[in-house]
Amino acid sequence: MTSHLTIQALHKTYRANGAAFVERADVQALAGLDLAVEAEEFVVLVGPSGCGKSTLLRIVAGLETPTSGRVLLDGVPTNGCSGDRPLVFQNPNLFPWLTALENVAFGLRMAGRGREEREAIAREALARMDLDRVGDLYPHELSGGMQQRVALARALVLDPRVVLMDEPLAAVDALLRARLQRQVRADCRGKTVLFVTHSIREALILADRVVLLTPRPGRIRHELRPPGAAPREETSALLELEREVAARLAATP
Amino acid sequence: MTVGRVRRAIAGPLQRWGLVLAIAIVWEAASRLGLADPLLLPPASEVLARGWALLLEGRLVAHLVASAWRVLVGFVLAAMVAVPMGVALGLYRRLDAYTATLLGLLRPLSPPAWIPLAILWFGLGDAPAVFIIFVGTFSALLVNISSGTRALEPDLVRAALTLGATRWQTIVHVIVPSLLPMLMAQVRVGLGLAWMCVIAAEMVAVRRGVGFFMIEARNLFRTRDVIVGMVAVGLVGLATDRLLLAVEGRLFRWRGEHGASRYYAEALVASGEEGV
Repeated sequence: MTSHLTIQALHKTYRANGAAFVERADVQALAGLDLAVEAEEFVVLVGPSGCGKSTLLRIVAGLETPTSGRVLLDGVPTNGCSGDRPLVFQNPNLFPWLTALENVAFGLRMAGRGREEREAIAREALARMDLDRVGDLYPHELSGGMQQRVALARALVLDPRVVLMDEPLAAVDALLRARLQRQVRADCRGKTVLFVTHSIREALILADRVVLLTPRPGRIRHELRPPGAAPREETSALLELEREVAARLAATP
Repeated sequence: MTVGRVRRAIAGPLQRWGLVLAIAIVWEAASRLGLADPLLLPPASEVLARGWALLLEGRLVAHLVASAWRVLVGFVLAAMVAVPMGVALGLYRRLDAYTATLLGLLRPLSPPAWIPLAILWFGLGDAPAVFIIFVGTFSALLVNISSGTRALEPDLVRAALTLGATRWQTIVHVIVPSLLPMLMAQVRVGLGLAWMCVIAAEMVAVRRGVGFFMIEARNLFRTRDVIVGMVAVGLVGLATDRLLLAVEGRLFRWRGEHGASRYYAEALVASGEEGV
């Protein structure tokens, strides 16, 4: 059986732009990364900063082209960006001149859906996030947590096959994060998800499968499937597992 | 209660106009007390009265209209070239290398430096004045707009692309709306510059307009009229700027001011079910 999202032998090297008198080496971000994700699987990538996990997501999203290797969706190589693979960033990146509702409806508008239809869909998506009362407000009128939920709704409203998330909860305070983790898991039900974080605990709470990456250049170092169904409670067993994983990461490869 | 209300009603205008009023009073006193030669510095009240008379008579208005027309034409022409060029320079950094030297050469040339050439090329009349406004505002607009465009948030473009926007849709729905506030601010700056240019141009190259009115007044030793011309330009500039600011505030309400309304959103949600 072929997997839903397949990443094959992905290499990414950033060429140093050689300014005069400054010698800079090329930076290898990814060195031959292979990953196969099943349909509706929630995969969380964990690794130290600079391990190329953001680069990986941006390549899958189509924002960057790999130096070599390819990304297949249902066996078909991806080409450029597409609304069937939206990326949720660490910053909400809402369009400040659009209301929350118009932000959520943005992708539908780009796809040529009519105003009434897209606003009805967007309104429903906001309601699922308990945000139906702020649809007419502008991003600067929303708190950080609200903005991030609008950003999530903006991606999910496209009913994408794959959702890509690059540390979407890193800038959110701890109390809210716990709640949003649950919400992300609930809202992404039935989607294939590639989620990047630097928090081992967040990975263990959210993931069907956790993929640990090596420091730059990024390769897969270890994979694990935490027991039980996600989202998991922060039980002592989970914290114990977190300690084990952290120790394994700290050990030399 | 009424005293407080009156005080509040006065406080705003007093804050904005107090300094101008104080200078006018010192000026009036200096002139009246003989500290300054009234021929060189006529009292403020006389300048005001003379200005009012000229306004009613219509001559000052005709000069102002002539100047304003040149400002408008010169500025619109400059903006029509500088806006697309500046945006292109800001978006495509590689173009910078081709234009940097030329812009560097042009920048130190103040608008009056173009006057001799403008007269040689266009003679006297509207054309040289418009030309001087064009060259005087163009390079400033170009430099400001290209650096303003460079400050564009690239993540907004990336977000739009991953939501399925095409390249063209990204330009129309993301790049243009995020550049509008900056462009609007540049319109205000550019119009101010254009007024500076027009007065200089009119002092040499034309026989109508506020600049001509002022230089003629100087030749006839009518100091009052010279100052009336200066005050008129100042007032027109101030009024235009305020008007554009008001338009800006209306168009770009989404920018908000201090983010105070964020608390409003939180209160709104909290009053419903659960607040986050």
